Amino acid sequence: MKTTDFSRPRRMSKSAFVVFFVKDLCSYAGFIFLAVIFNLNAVERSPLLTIFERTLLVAAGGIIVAAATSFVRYYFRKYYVENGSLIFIHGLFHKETTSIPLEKIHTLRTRRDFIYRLMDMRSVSFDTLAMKSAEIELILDDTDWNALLSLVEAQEQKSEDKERETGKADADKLAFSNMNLIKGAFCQNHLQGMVVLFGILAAILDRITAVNDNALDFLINYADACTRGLSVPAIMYIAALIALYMVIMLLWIGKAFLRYANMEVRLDREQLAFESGLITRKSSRFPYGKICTVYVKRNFLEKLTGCSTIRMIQAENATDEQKGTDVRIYGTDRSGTFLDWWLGKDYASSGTVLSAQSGYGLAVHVMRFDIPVILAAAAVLAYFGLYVWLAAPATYLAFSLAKGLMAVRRSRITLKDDYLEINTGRFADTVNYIKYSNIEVVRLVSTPFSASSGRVRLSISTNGTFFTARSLKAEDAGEIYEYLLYRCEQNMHADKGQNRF
Amino acid sequence: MTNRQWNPENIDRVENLTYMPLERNYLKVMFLKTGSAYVCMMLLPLFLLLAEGLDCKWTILVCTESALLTAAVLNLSLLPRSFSNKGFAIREHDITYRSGIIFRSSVTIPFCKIQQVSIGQNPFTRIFGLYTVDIVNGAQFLAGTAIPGLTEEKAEEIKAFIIERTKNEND
Repeated sequence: MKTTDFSRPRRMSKSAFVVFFVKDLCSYAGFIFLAVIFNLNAVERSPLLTIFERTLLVAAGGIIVAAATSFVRYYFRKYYVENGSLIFIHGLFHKETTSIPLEKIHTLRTRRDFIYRLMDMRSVSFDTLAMKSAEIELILDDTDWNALLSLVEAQEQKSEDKERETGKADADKLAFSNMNLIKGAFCQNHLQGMVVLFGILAAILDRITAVNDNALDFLINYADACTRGLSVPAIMYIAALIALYMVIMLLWIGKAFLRYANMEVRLDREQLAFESGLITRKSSRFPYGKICTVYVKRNFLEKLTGCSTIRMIQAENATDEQKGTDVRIYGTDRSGTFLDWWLGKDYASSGTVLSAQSGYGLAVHVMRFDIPVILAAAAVLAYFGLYVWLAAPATYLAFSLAKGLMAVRRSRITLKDDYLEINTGRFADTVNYIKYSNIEVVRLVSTPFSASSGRVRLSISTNGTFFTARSLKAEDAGEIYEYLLYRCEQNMHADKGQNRF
Repeated sequence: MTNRQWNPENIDRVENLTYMPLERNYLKVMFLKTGSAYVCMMLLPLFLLLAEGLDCKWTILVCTESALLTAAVLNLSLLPRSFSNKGFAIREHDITYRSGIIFRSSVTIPFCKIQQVSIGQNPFTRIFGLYTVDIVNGAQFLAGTAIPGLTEEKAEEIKAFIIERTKNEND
């Protein structure tokens, strides 16, 4: 029977060595390949060995080096738990001992690539708030992983209120079907993907012109020669654009599916555990107190299909891949479940204390880059007498105006009894829920127009997010500013009180 | 634990606070810093004189230098106003720093959120014996607020006060 005694320094199981070896071999594969090519060319100079023998020799060399480095990584890496701290000893020449108090572990992330799955192992990363990168990475089998996780959880419970029950009793497991995920991914704005695609195309064109000044002309002439015989109606261009959009959409859905397929979320009183992925399973564990903002987005399509996009954003300085580790949930609207968990069961009945709506200054801010482009385009078209084409900047102006006005309509800050809501978004309804105790700094900025418009800008920063509410009435913004500071201080004491008793 | 009722009338609001001005010598630091930056910028176009085959290099040089000189004069003339707008105020539970001319901003940091306080000098402030108090919190943005232009005694006093208040707030 496998021992899961962490009281003495121990190495990872032997399968970890195999994982290290395969990973090292993969990382050296490029060098080995280059060395083989180099040797093939050098055969004539050294006819003592045949091509096959030299290739074999190089491959054997690569394998030996990979075996040696993986052995060092495996053998000189020990870990154990002592006095509530995870102690990690590593290094051959520069021996280092890292000690992390278990209750300070902010996030536990696991990763299971193909090779890990084959060996029935998982890579476990421990993050703390003190460092920007992952503190410790271990390769553990399921037994060790579960035992270590139990230890971390037990230590966390010790530091919690004794009278509070453990979270496991209240664990609420949510499973998200893959169809639901596809539905949610379908509802996203795929135009952003097109921007990326056009960006790539621009880079390719730039490369072509860099090769030869005439290369682009050749390419255009070639395309012209190919299509000369065809009379392509305008509808074909539209069809091509739609086809392109569909491709982008499918690629995007594919990406979301690979990453979030077979998603499982476990909510208990103290933490949120999240696991997803079709080929590579990724899991994250978010302590309740480390989440700083819950973001809920519902665009037109999502409203129509009863979906929403939810993001649980945690404190910034905790992980090395911050953007990748936030929990993002697509599909049927489950925001109520997450908000119930994070803000409390009666969050919806929380009364409004203060609220403020953005003014038309926000529309100007949203349109600030569009207006010069539109004016410049219109001037150029008018100069060349292309008056019909003025419809294009006029259409874009209408779109930009709609964007600005929608932003004004949606932008709002609402202070509730127990939390704060910041509504943002242009064409989509986006609500950011923040607890008062998560607010770190507030800033009030008056602009050159403040004297005449009586509007100011209010910025709020938490330890993981930053929001700016623009064009708020100075009086409202001032009151909100003071109330936020008041509640920030009050809630800090309330949280401490809760923890103490 | 306290749970006092919030009454906006009883609060010294940020816009009504009396801000403590910075040391007068800090204006000289501002002049020195801005002046040095412009001198460095004005030296760069002189490299144009080394360019061979550029017919209009003197025209470009004169235009660039004139533009930079105008910007420098404008910028330097605004510094006294910028200086007079800078200031800080300490309340029971937070510290506020005000700055800016065109975009006047007030940043308030609650004591309970402060993680680190330090005092420091740069080569310009060292000439005039001035110090800066750096206040660090855990925010995503606006994580650091610096109150410049303080005497050593004042900087130490503010630092000690903030540390004391932070301890009290967190106890």
